[in-house]
Amino acid sequence: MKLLIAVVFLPTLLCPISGQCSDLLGLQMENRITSGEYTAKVEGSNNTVNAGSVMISAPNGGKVVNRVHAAGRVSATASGSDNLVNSGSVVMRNSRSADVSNRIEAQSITNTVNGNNNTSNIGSVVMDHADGGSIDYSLKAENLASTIHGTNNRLNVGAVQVNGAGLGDVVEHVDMNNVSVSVSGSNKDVAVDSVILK
Amino acid sequence: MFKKVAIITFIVIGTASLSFANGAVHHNSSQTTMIGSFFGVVPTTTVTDTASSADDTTSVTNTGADDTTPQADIPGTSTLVTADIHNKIKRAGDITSTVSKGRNNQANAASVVVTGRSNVSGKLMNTVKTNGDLTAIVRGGRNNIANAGSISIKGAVSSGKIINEVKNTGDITSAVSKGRNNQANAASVAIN
Repeated sequence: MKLLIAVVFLPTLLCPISGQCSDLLGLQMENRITSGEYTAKVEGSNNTVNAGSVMISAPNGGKVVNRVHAAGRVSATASGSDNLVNSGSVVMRNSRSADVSNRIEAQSITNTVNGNNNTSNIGSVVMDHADGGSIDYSLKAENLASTIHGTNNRLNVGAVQVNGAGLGDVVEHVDMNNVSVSVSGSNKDVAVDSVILK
Repeated sequence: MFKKVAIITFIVIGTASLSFANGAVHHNSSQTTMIGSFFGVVPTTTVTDTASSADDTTSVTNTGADDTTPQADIPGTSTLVTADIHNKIKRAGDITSTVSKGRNNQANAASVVVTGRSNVSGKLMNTVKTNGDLTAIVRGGRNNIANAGSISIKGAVSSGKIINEVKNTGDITSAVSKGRNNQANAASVAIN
């Protein structure tokens, strides 16, 4: 019994001393946003921008809820290289969660990517080497305009991208009226109102 | 035997926590600026911070060249947070958080931030109600973070519940212009 207690609790006690035990033990996260316009913009290299989003790059185990209601326009722009811009999205990397719920509502959505190796997410759920339970997401917008230029860029709008992860049920609700997508360059990855499993 | 080890461990953590109670600056050559924010606190009971004032603007600016001094962690220090933390902002103005150039800087506005050797077992809540805009901007530099109306956890242990609630009729802007390895969060939850 003592050995069991030591095995379970001692690492937790020692984590603050070692300092590098970035861990989320059964953590439940809720992000509830009501606002006018959203703008997420990044230039340079290896930068990250989050607007009305949940981004997790650490072990987890709980439920993730993201609710965004924007009365105006949602805009996400990335230029440069190796940048990540998230707007109204849930992004999990090397993580584990229970259920993920992402519900976004906006008047219009504009998504632009220029340069190399950039990722731009709007109203999406992206799981990169992450395990999860069910994914429930919905995106409601009147107008959508997306542009992507350069090489190795990824653009997700109202999409679920799962890369090398275990996954439960996926339920999507996408309601968009006018959709415009412009693409040039090479090795781009565009997903609108889609579920992509790799 | 285990009880003795556990007691000693708690004493070590507690001592380290007290010595680092206001340890907002974890590294050399770092700056931390907060408005209506929690950072590195050691509460023993529920803590609620309620702010209401005119427009808040927090900024960290380093107009010189990037600091080349490497980060120097302080060994054996930790922050132990066992209670709920509720950061509540009721106001009618704009909230802006800006970092300009430099390295390893942090600017927080209307946010809850837990970094470094922290162990959070309570509830983290950030409630922002405003008619103004929320803006988080990093202009150049390296390894800088700007948070506005957000909850950010980096390198910490946490369990329980995180709730970030922003009721805002203004605009929300999050931007990084140039630089490298920077992060700007507006009305977001970021766990690194």
